[in-house]
Amino acid sequence: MITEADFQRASRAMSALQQAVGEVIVGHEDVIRATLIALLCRGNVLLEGVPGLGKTLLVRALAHATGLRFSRIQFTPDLMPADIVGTDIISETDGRRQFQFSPGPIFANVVLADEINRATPKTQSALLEAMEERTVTVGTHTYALEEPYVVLATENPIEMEGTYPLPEAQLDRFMLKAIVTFPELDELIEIVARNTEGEGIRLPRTEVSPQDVLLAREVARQVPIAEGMRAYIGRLVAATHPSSLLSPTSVRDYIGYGASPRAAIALTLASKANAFLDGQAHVRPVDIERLFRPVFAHRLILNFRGESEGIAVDSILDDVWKKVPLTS
Amino acid sequence: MTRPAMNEVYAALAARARTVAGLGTCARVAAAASAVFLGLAVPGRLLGWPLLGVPGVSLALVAASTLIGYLVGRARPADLPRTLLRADVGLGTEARLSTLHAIQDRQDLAPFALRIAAGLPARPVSASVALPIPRRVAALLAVAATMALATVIAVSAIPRPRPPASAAPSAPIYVPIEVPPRAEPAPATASDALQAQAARDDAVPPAASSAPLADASSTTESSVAASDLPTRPQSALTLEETLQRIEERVAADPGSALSDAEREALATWVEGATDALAEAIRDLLAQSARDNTLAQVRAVLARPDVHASPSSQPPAAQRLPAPDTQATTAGPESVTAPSAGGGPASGSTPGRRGGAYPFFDEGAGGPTEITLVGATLPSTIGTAGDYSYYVTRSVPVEPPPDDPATPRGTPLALSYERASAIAAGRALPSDVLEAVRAYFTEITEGGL
Repeated sequence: MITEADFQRASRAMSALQQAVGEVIVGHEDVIRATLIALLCRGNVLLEGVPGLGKTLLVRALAHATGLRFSRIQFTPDLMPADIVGTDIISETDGRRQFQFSPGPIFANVVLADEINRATPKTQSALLEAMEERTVTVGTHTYALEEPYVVLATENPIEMEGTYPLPEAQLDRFMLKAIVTFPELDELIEIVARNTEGEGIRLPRTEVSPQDVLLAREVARQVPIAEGMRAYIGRLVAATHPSSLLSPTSVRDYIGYGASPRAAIALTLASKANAFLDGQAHVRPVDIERLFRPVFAHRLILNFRGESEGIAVDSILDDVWKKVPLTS
Repeated sequence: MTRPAMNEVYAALAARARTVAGLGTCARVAAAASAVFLGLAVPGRLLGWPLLGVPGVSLALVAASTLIGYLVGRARPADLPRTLLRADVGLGTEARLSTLHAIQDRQDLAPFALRIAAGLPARPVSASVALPIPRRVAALLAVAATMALATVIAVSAIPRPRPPASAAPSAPIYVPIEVPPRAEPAPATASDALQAQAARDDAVPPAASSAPLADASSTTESSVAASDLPTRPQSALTLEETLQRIEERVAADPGSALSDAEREALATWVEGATDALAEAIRDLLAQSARDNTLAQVRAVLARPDVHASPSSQPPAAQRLPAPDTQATTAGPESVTAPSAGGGPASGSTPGRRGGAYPFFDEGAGGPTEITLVGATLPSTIGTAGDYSYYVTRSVPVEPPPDDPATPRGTPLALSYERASAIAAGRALPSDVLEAVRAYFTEITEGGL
């Protein structure tokens, strides 16, 4: 049972974490919020942006501020699954040789899968179990990953040559997709200043413990949501399907596959976490509005017509948002 | 806010939601009923429907439907989670009411409930503010009310139709003219009529005397007994004429068979005919092959006993449509005057009914049972033809002398000399006399 003290403690921890990361990362509030939400909801985040925008720094800052173990995997075409999950190696102990499992970089708390779309689908799929089940199976053994665990993957939207777009099944396992945009001018100047003055970029102090993160997770999960709000989320998901009576015309024309039930779960949990990060004790309509696009953007699959006409999923999501009222 | 207080809020909001739902249903029903009212009341009024044409009744039906719709809509239980979310939107409480309701039984979430309740406004929750009547419902109600009111006004402005003909006595199509019995007044001869007309003309103002011939028809006709006008009702047709009409019609329409009216007319001649003639008529009636109808009719018509039967009046009135050229072959000797037994000249039955023509079936009985038969009149009837179809109120016709020696049924020969004598006696202008002469020439000789 969550007590008021638990709520306050978790809330304070999250506020400190936000502040610590924010001191390192200039701007990108939405991206920081998305990573924190994923951390609180046992989710994973797909970060999309060109190199050099501070994605790796963001992840490292988050891990450092929470005292969590961080690992970075640079995905390349020749990367093998064993390079990620680890492998059994022969070791000799007291004159006896035996296989011993050597964990890969996936065994961490905060995993940065950099340029995930550069690896082959086989390697990409090595992340599936870790992202969803929080376990890794090597041979006949299944190893549990340590909580809190979060995978933050990045995609470079520009260099598409020699890349392997993530399959829909793997995309659906990312709770949120955050777009890392180019900073504003004043933010850019601040970034330059921080990196060129004094000691340069310093990672934040460890403000919260992994236990605090786990408590915050529990509190965030308990944030209540009204039945009407839950029904609202359901209608939003249904409206992304071309066959639904709730869907707008653009969905019927350009969408091949709508959002999955996992999207409804993700939106509910993300809304709860967002409310909690705002210090609120219940899910508000604004929470749903803020998380609607990050949760749905990578889950709508355009049909051939949508692809050929270059339809932006964001515009379709706008239509869905306008079509589905909060109260029916 | 304590839980009992919250329960009161929930109850008030639920009641308000039911009222709004009732109004929503009521608005839809009212709009539909008003549309139906509009669709039925106006034509109902125009067509004289018993109930829908009455504005009060239709309006009452709309009001009753609206009330029932409200009660039905209000009877449904409110969807409280949805209602509370709407109230949250109305009050701007960001889903606090609905969330509190969702966790009111969850003790494990008490810290959350306290925090949520703390965010509620301190003032009492107004149900009408939280759940206002939707604009759509209000607009629908306004439209329905306007439509109903407009329809009532429109229906009230439409005059009620007259009762149907069967419900009210209708004006007769024609009024039979009471004609004195033929035996009482001695019909005037041409000279007598001329003298009487001249005597009446003395009392007529000059303007009236100089009026056109048509204007003086009433005075002229008044000098002639209506029963003596040369009418030719079909009931007075001879067998020969009947056959001739049939012949002409069949000749004009080759391949046609006897009509029911013709069969009925011929059947009446079987009785009273000689055995041979009756047999011939029966054979004709039994004729079914269309190709032989014309030959069969002509065969019967060629029988001598058909022509020599002045006493061959059928026992019942005939109903035979007039053929197109029926008068062309009818000679003056074949014109039969109305019989004293059942003809139009007998008793009080007029031989001609106030402007009616021989096309009317006078054996039909009631005034509404009139059979109109189209006919094309011959352009020329000659000096002794059947001119009865040309006789109108405006034609000065001299009846035959009421001489006992004159046999009944003597044809009425139309003579311009007689007509001109009447016209001259009335001192008609020369141009009018010329018009009369031209008219007579037209109908007797086929034009000038």
